[in-house]
Amino acid sequence: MKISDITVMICDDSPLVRKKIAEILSKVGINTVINAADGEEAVNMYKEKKPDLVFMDIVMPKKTGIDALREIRAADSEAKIVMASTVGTQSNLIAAIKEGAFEFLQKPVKEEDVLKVINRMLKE
Amino acid sequence: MYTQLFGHYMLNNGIIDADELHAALTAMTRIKAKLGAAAIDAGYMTAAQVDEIHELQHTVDKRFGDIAVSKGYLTEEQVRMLLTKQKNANLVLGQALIDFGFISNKEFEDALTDYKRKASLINGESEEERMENEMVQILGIDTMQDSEFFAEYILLFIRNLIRFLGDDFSFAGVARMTTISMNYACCQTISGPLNAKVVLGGTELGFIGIAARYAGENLTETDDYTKACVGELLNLQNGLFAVNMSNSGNMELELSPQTSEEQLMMNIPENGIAVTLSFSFGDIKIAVIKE
Repeated sequence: MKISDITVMICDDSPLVRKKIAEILSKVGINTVINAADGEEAVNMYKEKKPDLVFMDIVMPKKTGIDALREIRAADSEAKIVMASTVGTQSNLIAAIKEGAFEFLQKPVKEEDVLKVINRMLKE
Repeated sequence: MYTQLFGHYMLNNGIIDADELHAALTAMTRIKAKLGAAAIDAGYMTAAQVDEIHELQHTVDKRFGDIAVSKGYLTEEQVRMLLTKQKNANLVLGQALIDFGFISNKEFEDALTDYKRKASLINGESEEERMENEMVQILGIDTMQDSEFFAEYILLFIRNLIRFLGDDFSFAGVARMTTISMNYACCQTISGPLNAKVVLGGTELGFIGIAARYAGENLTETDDYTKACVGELLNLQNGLFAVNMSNSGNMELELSPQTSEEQLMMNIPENGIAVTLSFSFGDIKIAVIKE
């Protein structure tokens, strides 16, 4: 898979965070980006669009990122979901690992972190 | 951080007034400390020696460092070291106040010496504990129950504001057991073994200023995007606080999604505090109520 072929879904209730992550992705050549503003929308959107990679916040309205992670992974065990949150507490880290998160990034998300995730995804 | 603490010390001790501090903080981004202020801060020269060299510079076409070395006040090595420290925030505030004529070199030297003496570590105290104790004094919450929580929380907030918005602000007021108002605000609750409601907001200009600086964009309206930017900064602060509690206190906290409010009137109860910070772009308020 070429980097330009990757489709990414960014799920965060903050339009600022969605915009910043999309800008980082654009810099590395990923321009197919889907946005979701809460956990519920993320689950529905994932099932419909099947993106290659997801960046998922944890604290969101309607459905938390951990719940959305669980539901998406139940529907697609191959789903690659990167939890990107300010709340990197022990309990959230454990829950993310238990539910099969691909990676956990502490916000604010840095360009080098996104690059590492993309590279890891391409290798796998 | 030092800028805010030293600025507050000078304000509290009547060395400068709030307008002078505000003017100096606003000018900080445009200036760097001169060698004289850096030499006083390092303890290499007295204010009198610095004044003497400034006088000499009116008649001799030489740089400050060259004259100080020729007079035996500084070594070449000390000059080189001081040149690397000219952009230190702690020096720049003093330099701005001197440049405006609000204080003399002597007043800067005296204030710095006294502040450093009072801010020195007491037996076995860590730097973090000292900062928290200083915050307790600034907030005037030494007799308050949970003063440690409030000091730790506000200290982290101040650090995040410096990191994400800049350090051109001063403490403009602390409110307890009263009603405060904010034109625009974002709210979030922390729940778990510790429960608290936290609000970040301010005047319209202050609110837009927070959002614009955090996003690094030129924002001019209080629309949904602006509110989301302030909300994200609040979320980041609370997320980092939750991580600290998780790592050091074995305390697992949860956060609610942020909400925004307009024309907020808020009662600050006995177990709450509201801090007003005056930025160059406007006033902002942080309110924390422990439940």
